[in-house]
Amino acid sequence: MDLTGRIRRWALGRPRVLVIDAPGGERFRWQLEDELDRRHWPLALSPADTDLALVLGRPGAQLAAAIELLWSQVPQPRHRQDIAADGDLPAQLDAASVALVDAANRTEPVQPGAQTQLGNLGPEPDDVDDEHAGHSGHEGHHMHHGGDVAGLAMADTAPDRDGLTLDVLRVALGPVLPGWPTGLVLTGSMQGDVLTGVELAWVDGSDDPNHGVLQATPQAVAMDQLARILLVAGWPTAAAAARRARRDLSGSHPQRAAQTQRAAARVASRVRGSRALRWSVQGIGSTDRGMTPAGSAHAAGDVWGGVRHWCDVAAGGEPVPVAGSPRSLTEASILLEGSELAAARLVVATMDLERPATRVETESTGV
Amino acid sequence: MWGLWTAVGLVVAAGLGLGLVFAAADRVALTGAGPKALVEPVRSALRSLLEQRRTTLAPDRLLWRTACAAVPVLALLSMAVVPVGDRTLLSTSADLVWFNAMEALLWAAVWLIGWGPNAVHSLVGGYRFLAQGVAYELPLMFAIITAGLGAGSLRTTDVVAAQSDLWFVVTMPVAFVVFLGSAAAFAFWGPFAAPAGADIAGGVLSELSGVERLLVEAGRVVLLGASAAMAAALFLGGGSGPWLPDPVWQLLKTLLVTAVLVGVGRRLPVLRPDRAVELAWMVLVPATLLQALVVALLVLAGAYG
Amino acid sequence: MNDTLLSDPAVIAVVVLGAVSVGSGIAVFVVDSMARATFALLVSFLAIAGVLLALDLVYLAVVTALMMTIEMAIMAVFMIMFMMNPAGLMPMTMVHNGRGSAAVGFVAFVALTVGIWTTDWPSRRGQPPADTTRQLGEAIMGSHMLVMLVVGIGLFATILSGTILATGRGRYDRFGADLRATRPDDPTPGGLPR
Repeated sequence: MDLTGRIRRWALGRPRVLVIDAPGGERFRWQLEDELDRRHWPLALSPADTDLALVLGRPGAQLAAAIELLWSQVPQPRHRQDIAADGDLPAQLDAASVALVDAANRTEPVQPGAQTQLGNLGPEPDDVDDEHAGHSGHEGHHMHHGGDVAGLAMADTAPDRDGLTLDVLRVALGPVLPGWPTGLVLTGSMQGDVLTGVELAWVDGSDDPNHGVLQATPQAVAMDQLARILLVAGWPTAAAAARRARRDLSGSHPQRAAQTQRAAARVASRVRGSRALRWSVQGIGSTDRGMTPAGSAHAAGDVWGGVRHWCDVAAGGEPVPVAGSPRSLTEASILLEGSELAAARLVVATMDLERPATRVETESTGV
Repeated sequence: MWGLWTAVGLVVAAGLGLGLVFAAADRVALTGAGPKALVEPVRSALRSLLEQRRTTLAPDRLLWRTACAAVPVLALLSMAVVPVGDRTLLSTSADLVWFNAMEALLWAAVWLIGWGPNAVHSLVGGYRFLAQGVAYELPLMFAIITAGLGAGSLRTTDVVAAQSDLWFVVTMPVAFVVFLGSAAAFAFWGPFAAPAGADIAGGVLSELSGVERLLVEAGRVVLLGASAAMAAALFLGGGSGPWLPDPVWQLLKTLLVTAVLVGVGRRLPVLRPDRAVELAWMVLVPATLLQALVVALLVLAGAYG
Repeated sequence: MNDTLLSDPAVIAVVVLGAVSVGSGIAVFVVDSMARATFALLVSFLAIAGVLLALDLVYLAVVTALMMTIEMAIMAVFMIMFMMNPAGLMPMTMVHNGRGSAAVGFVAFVALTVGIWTTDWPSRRGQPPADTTRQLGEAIMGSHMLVMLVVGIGLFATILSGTILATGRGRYDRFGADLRATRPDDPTPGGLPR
């Protein structure tokens, strides 16, 4: 092999992976993430950051369209692969890695670019996982030009949370974001980074009768939730520790059970005992904002209460439902009303949402 | 003229080297993969070079691309007043203010990176950075000025020389800690990484790929490496130390500061800006002012010779 | 040019940077997006900082760059923060009341030009000091101390009163009508335990 090829292979040796777990692929996501951690392949945060897009399970029509759009934003060299749940996982990842290097070696024609593909998507192109929004009207004496720019509709002004009249941006978060339940789409208006008019919906439900029923112990599920919260909260080292604990908990090593339990308890107590995390997330998403005194012993319905709940369960405690934690989308959207983007992400990551087993039609998602 | 270009090359190399060291230490702390992770920054850089540059729908291309290029340039310019050996590339009567000005210019650049691509997550990241920058600019300014106050000069080499008897960290512990924390805030790294947080899909970095991502990431780590070297010079006596030659001492101190910064920074979760910003305004600003007052009284008492 | 004052590269730098400064100043009114106007203005100020650097006034140069950058960044916040319009998607004009502002600009230009060319500028006495920063500091902290203090306090009072006038919420909203509440009622709580 020539030198350039060798360098290229080495440079792409640890590709950044965007994991898309379609319904039915949830449990398998754990195995995939464990394998990625073992290989030190980092998780991508956005399409721009992605080398490999790995799709688990069977996406429905709407999710498939969203993945297609996402894929159009991934820069070359790139490779997308459907990961089969019954296949040999390491072999599939090896194949994906080889295919990525092949893609880098080929001199492919330049991809169409996000613009053309986005422009063809109809009236609401900003209803995709991330971004491409913007476009606003302007107050006062600025000149107004036309109704849209580059195919993007203009937004209006509206009174905001603090009583000022500000520009409103229609945004959609999801269905694929890091630390976000895949398939969930949040639509709403954003002023600054404050969300209003929040509506939550799942993109197409699954035909899989087992869908939503996770074949795992509550402890491992809680550890998974914790890993997700820590990722969103911006604590990557603790999130990796939680994923490791989850791997051990979901593996069947009866002879190492005590050791596994100790490790899980250690992760949980590290997170629970973090004063920085508590300081950072306490009071967010609380149903009675600002009313609980700092350091209150009650598990208030805020993100910190949720974190403590999941820590308790992950450490092997009793899974007691946390007070005020919403399970349905309607409850959740009420809770998210008027929250900041970051707070909304944390609240969603903390919630244990019930997924519909049946197919639901959503008209709010343009993808 | 030849001497000048050699010096410029030396400073650029030193900046890139310190940045690489910081990035390598950061990867080791982040992945827990041991010494093998030391080469990962190089791998990431090569990967970025292989990658296609992206564009988005209706971006402000001029401002976006300019800002991406500005980040590493500003980081290297701040390196120009950091002593390498016992000299600086640019020795003016206002070195410390120069260092601060480069960080202020970084605001403009990072905000533009958030603004340019016309995307929600990136815009939110840009505004988070501005809020953070406004809050940490004043503590940083006071921390730097405190060192200048102790030395009676804004020239970095004078500050190093003034510590021949006593390292400034002894009388200026608050300024030392605030300096390192603010450097992390300006490089939006570690507990101050909210502008590039996972909750906004990478924030200001969310739309960057290819060479642009490489430039911005390189600028961040060069700034952190330069700040570690500056902290060693301003508060830890620069190159002074027994037995070993000065540059070796300075390198050792810089590496120590880097290790401490990475070790502490990666142990913490991201501090949400709306909380951390209040801390900066209400605690750090008065604390650094008090620190400056104490140092001023010590200067009047003749404690610094 | 007086060759005892400035070297040739410095003269060239002053001329070029002066042109850049004027050019980007004009650009402020020509471009069609707020972000570009803001940063054109910043480029103009940075060029001025470069001129000061060429004149060997390092401290003034660096402080100009520092303060103007911060100023423009904060201006960007206030101008654009409330507009959800990244990347200047919608073009807008940067000039208002064209005729009036042209008249004002022309009058100001004429007045300044006449002033520059008719003033009897004093000729140079003595030599520039080795350390202009120290000289500047001694001037500010010595003979001009009173002026600087008054100006500083005036600016600070302006900032405070501007903020107080602009904010919609006062202490009665935060702490109740009798100011007895132990915790302020804020839409977003900050990081301090209170």
